[in-house]
Amino acid sequence: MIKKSSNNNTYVQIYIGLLVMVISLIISISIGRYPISIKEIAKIVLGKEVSELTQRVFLTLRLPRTLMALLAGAGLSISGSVYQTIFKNPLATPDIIGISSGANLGAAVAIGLLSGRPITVAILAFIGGLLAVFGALGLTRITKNIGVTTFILAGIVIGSISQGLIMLIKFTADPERQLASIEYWSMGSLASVTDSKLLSILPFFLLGIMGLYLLRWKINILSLSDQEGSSLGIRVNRIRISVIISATLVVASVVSVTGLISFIGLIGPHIARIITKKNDFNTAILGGISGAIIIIIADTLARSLSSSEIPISILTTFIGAPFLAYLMRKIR
Amino acid sequence: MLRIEDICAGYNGRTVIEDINFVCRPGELTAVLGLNGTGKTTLLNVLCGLLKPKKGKVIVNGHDILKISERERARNISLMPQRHSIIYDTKVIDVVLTGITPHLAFFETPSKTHKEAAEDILRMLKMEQYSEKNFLELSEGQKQLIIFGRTLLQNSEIMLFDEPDSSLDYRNKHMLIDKIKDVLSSDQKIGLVTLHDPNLALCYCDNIIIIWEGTIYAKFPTKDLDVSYINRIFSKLLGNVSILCHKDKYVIAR
Repeated sequence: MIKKSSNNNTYVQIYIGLLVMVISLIISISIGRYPISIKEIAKIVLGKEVSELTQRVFLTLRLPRTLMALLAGAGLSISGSVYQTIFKNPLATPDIIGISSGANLGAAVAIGLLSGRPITVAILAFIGGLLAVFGALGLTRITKNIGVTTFILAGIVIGSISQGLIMLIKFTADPERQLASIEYWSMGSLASVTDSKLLSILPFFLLGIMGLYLLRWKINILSLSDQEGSSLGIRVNRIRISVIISATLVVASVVSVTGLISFIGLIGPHIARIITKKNDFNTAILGGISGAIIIIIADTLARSLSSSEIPISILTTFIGAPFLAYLMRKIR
Repeated sequence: MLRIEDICAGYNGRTVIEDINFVCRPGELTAVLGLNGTGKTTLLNVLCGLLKPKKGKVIVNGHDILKISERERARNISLMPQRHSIIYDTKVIDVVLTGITPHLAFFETPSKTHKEAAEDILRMLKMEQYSEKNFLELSEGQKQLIIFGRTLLQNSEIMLFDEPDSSLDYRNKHMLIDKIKDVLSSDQKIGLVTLHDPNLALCYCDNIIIIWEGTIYAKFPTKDLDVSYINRIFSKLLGNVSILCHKDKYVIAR
């Protein structure tokens, strides 16, 4: 008796998703202040000659920016999916363990207290995100019985401290230049993405994704109660920390370049779960593809809707909030 | 054989159970009875490695399983919880498949062979038509049966059941315990179950252990029972009860 496996279905859904993603990627590359026609993109890919300006815009700006949109959507969605699974909470986001607040604090320090050069902002945001998570993980050790709630409480503590410090920096910042930059950073934008930024975060991003991929079966088991996980032979706490660190690498490398992008870690995973009716790693990958498509489209709109760049979180919030209302109906 | 030696355990300096000694044999189901808060769950948590005891040993085939790795222990002891903790949509077959986890290497994921083993178990439980269905949409009775299927795939020598009947109706209770009994005797596994209903224990279990205020108050086989003895024991545990005889089995009524 051969039954049609649901896994094959998921693979088909992933292939269709990839196709849509590649199409939106190409369209997104062609749209912008300096339009590049699809014919020209094909020429560049095939190694044929195009004007030098077109080539430069394509290689150093448009391609890195669109690829970064892809990485941001995919990375934030896959991490979101993983956080929702291991924290047993369908509404969990990367901020649950303090990472966004930590990255935000790092950026605020760079802008408000240091030079504020883009590279300093990125590095400090990255370090801030990691430090916040390690701070939260260290904080969990003060209790004996470590459970999911311990992690969430530790995340809240670290997040609140970061928010307090951010407010302090904002209070003393120069309102014209620094305060505006800090606010702007926390709304997210892909406008400043360059090929060198993309390449410097790529190793951390891939390392994190690799960790999540290798731990994919255990992530699944962590969605059960700690008692069940342990009786299935998992070292619950140790695996949970490894998963958190991997997901943190992914999120920190994305937000250090893009700033905060709200809601995407929630929308991508849930779209995928609605499609597959499962919560395995293939669903997380489909969530990553969904998130990538949304960010690619949102970023295309962000740079083409008006004469000035629109922060990307404005767009993702307008997609995310109605979606959240839709989820309210579903989640009991 | 499972031998519990002198277990003493508790939380945050408070002792919940002490001086626990007993032996379980292959093919037999042993019931642990006790009122709420007497330490039944604490005992199970020690046995499945979730709680480190203050002293004592849990010996399986001559080895103390409190001293081996989680994964190795999970291959020796499985636990069926009171209620499953699955919150995300999951296919029934994938729920059963999680039982293979202790048999996988660190980064390994289940193979086709594992999936076929899971399908065999569904067939044995007569649940194969639900294989691709969403676990969360099953009835409570079917869900517990599937979780039992996961335990079967884990295929450990010792199977612990923590009030597996607590969310089930009358008919499903008996159905589930019947299945558990079948597997224990056909595969010669060691079964240990915590229960609240003394009649289920008297009807299905080979041995009964009664825990009272953290220690073993009585332990006896259910074969050839002395009525006045169990009347005294159960009256102490449950208040004044009468023991009735029904089809060679004893029934407690109050």
